[in-house]
Amino acid sequence: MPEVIRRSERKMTAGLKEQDIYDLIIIGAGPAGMSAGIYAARKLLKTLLISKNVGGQVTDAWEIDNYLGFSQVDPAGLIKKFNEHVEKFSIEKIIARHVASLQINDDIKSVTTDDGKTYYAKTLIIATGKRPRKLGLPEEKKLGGKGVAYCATCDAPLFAGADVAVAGGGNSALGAAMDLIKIANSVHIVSITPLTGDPIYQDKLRSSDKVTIYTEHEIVKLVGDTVLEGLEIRSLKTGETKRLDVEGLFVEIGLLPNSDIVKGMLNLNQYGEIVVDYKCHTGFPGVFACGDVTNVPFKQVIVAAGEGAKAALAAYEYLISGN
Amino acid sequence: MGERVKIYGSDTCTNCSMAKSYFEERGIEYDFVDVTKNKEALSEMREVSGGARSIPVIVACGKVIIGFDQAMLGEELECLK
Repeated sequence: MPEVIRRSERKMTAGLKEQDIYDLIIIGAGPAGMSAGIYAARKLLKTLLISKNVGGQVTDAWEIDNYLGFSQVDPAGLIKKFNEHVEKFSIEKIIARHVASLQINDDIKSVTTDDGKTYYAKTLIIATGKRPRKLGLPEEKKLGGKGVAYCATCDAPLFAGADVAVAGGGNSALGAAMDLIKIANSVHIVSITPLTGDPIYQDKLRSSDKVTIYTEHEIVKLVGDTVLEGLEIRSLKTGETKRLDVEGLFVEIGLLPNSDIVKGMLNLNQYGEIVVDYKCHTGFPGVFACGDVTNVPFKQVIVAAGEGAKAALAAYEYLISGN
Repeated sequence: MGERVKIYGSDTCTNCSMAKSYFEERGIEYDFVDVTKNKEALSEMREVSGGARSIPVIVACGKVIIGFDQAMLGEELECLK
């Protein structure tokens, strides 16, 4: 294993001792962050992994059948294997903590968690993934989990015999609707655009007696005091409104990158993704990013894991060479 | 420690498996019921949670937590520490 040579000229933050400083802090413990952790540990980097949870978006998956070496694996099982692999190496972990703020300007970066503790490192890897986009309606938070759902794979089975709606017109939305027509009494699809999901989904849904499709409509109100009782939708063409009496709404309108903590610091694209080059460089010295939070296309578990490996190796390269 | 932990979930829900692992790793015993196979349990879950239709629902320390959020569990379930 090669020895890590640290940059001697690195500017130290006042009062900090060398032993208080990690070589690398990884933020996020999805496939990208955990893979980065393994590669960092194999390079003997003193590494800290901070994350609010373990597994990232894999926890919302139903089944994974395209990860090399696993023709079919349940997501919880895959996360467990990832975690067991990470545990074999000496990586410090802080799980169940949110990162409240970052400071990346100096040679020594700092990460402050929501309990007020601050950790220091020479390099950072941002691997914070994505989260479901919300409708942004005032009643949404109150009715979340009480009829308003963001994970059809998890919650669709709880709506057997119910009248439900799906927000969105892409593959995720149509996939959710496909799951729901097997068990629900009726399924309303509400999309602000024409349907964009795969034609095979569209054909199957259009031919189902249970399905009503409202394209170029927006959801303007969620109805219900304690549980969801209905929606109000509005036509974008005519302005006409209509009430749908539904017990469930599955919001499948895309994902948002968890890049808020680096907003104003790093270069983000129009979607809010961190822009990185082919070595996961963010353009900011010593700061790398990987996985679904970046502009790297094809959001897949195996791609995220590969990008995590690259980010850790790039951080190692930076530490030994300063580039 | 208060009453025994109860998890309402399903066998195919990843976050439910994560919730079970969370308690197993801490040596905390729990009761698990699959609400997709047991209508009475689903009704019970909705009653104790004020109408939740999302899993897992975790009942412990006199509190009801909808969804698996490790940070929230750590903060809310003081009686299990």
